[in-house]
Amino acid sequence: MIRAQGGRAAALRRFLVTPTDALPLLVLRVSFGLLIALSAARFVAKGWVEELYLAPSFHFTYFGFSWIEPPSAPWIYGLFAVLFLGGLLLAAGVGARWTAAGVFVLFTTAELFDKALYLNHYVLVSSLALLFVFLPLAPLRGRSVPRWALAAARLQVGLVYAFAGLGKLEADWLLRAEPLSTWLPARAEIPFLGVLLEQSWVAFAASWGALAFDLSLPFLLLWGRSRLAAWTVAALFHACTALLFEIGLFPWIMLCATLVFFTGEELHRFFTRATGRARRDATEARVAETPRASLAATPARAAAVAFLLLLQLLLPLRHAVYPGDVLWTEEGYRFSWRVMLAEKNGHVVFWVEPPGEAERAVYPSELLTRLQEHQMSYQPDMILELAHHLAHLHGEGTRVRAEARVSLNGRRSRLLIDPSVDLASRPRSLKSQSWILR
Amino acid sequence: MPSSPVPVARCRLLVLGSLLLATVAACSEPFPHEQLLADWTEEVILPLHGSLVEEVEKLRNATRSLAAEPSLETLNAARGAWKTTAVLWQEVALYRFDRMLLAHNQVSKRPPDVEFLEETVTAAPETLTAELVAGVGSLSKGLAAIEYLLFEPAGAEDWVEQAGEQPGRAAYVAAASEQLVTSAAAVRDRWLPEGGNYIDTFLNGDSETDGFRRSLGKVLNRVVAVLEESVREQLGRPLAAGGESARPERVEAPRSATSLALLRSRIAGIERVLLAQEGDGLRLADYADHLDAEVDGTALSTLLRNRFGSSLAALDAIPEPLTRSVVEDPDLVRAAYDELRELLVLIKVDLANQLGVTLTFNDNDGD
Repeated sequence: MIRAQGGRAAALRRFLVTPTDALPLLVLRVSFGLLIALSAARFVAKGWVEELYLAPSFHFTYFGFSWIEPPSAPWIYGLFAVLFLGGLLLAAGVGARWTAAGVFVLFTTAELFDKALYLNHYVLVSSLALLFVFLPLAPLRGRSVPRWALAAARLQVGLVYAFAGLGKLEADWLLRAEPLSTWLPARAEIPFLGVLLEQSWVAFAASWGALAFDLSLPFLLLWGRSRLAAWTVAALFHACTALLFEIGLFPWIMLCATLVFFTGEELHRFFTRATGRARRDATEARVAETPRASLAATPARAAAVAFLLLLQLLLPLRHAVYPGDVLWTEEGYRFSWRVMLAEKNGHVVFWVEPPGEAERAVYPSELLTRLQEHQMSYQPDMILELAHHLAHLHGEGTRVRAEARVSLNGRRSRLLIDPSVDLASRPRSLKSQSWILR
Repeated sequence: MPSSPVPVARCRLLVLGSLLLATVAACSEPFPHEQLLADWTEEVILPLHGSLVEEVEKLRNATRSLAAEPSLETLNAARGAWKTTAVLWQEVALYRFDRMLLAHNQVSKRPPDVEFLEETVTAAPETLTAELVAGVGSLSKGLAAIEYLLFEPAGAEDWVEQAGEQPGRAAYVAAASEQLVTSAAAVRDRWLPEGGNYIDTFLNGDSETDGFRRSLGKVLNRVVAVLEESVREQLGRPLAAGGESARPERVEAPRSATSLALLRSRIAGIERVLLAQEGDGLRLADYADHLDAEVDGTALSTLLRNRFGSSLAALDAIPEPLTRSVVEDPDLVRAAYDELRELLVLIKVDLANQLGVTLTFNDNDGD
């Protein structure tokens, strides 16, 4: 029995270190690097560095990372310039692993500057960059990589779809078609298709279709016979989301990421057709050139990749340990690939009572940008953080209450947090917060 | 020649698909998005801007008469013209989109630069011209500056008496009013095809974005910003905790004692954006009705109508001047404050949620 298990482990190990064509990983790395460069350039060109990092007088921080603050203008523009360069170098395969490490550090630091800017696809960018640090990245004229490297990249991309699909298994999405019932009619002025978007059955069809898409796509991409059709559907799906919603680079990142599911042979065929000339070195020959021994991961790298993927598996599930609806409380919401599941709007007034003074109202718009205010208005941990900031501004012993009214997916607005609680006295924590009204 | 079965099959599919789409389209009554924007511009925005220029011209004429012959009669006429213009401006100021801030500041920006004004009015009246006013900062001209000079706390008789001793005061008011005609026309011209043609951007969007959703977002953003400012600054700040802790000096227009009238005009202006009155075309509430927007079984449009009614009634119940009411009738002011807060939540949270309009357009990537 033990010998059989040992045999299976050895066979699995042999399978994982079997060389396979590096082209899918190479395509992922090149497209990813170019998108990073585009993203950095776009951020600067649109004036977002000024608007989102330099203009605000206050920034929301992540728990444990409050020491990370946006630096002054020259440094932050320098950061984006280096990030742009890093993206290009990563695409070119120059010092790929070190470049990936640099891209990860810079991009993640920029993300950590302000929690109000949290976006799922930023997390995906950081996750992929970190994964690249430990993967044997193929050089530009790559030969082969071990199967585990390709599997790790595919698992990372597949998990995004899988958790996005699992997140849709909830009543609002399935039974009320929310938030699509709200979002689609709001786009009804689009020529021709607009008429359809106002139909309630379209919202239901889209909700259930998106659920089926997310849950099945990774598997359909893995299966050779359905791969091309699945990717074509994915391309249409992401093109539709890009047309209907303001989600920036997200659709294009996902579309490029899914290319990693193609085999080297399929990609070679595609490039041959596209360029009209056959590549000199056939896949098999190039793969065979690589000695198997060189493909085995060092234990440290294999452990790092395994740890990262385990983290990716567990983080999205952590909401299960918090009571209440994750879409309402947002406890365990971030890093869980719950993409476009909620239309939330809120309004918060803080009641600040410095020692010995009368309580008075403070409106967040006095301190925050509109984007920050909007994000804070329905996220309890951000409300708590601003309450702490207000207490700090008004001196020790200041009491701060918050009256937060929030509407989720078309429901009547109601109180999000207990308005009688002095938030200044409540510490920031990853534990479930009793002052959130569930 | 035998026909190929494949093209025929494809044609059938195409026809079937088109028929299906046409049937679906015919079954539904799409909301006329363009019509809503057109009704907003033709029935509200453009007439308001046109009226503003007319009223400012009346103000200019009244202040000219005042400068020529200071008397109680000409002073009251000028003050009346100022009030009419200032009340109207509250509605116009709602439509301050994109890069209109500077132009709007030329018409009204608070607080006025009192030090500069008091110093300037001591100059010889013939030197105080519209050209001079055009060159000063926005805090030294426009409606707020005119209000400061026109409404002397000591009373109308004192004002007329002082005008004889210091003719520069009336001359500066007249010059500022003259210059205001230019500023108001500039704000109006931003919208007109022969000017900035913003009407085209409003109706059709810009090169990057569609018209309806972008304009809807802009209007709602402004509605929420103005409403929140009204709650926070115009009522909240002066009221504070009410009674002894009240801060009457924080009311918007203490000299002219028009704070409540200005606030009421602002709320009524917002109501005109959202709710159609008899004879009006489409308004935002009609769009909400089209989407079957409701809260706990009640149509959002009904909730809005009721809330506007109670809010305006609560404001009407407060006696002017607000400086006195926040001290003597804090409960009445508090009631209006609470009503407006409820109205704010209804629009900013419930209405925006049902319309799927995120009230923060910086076009940063979402999700």
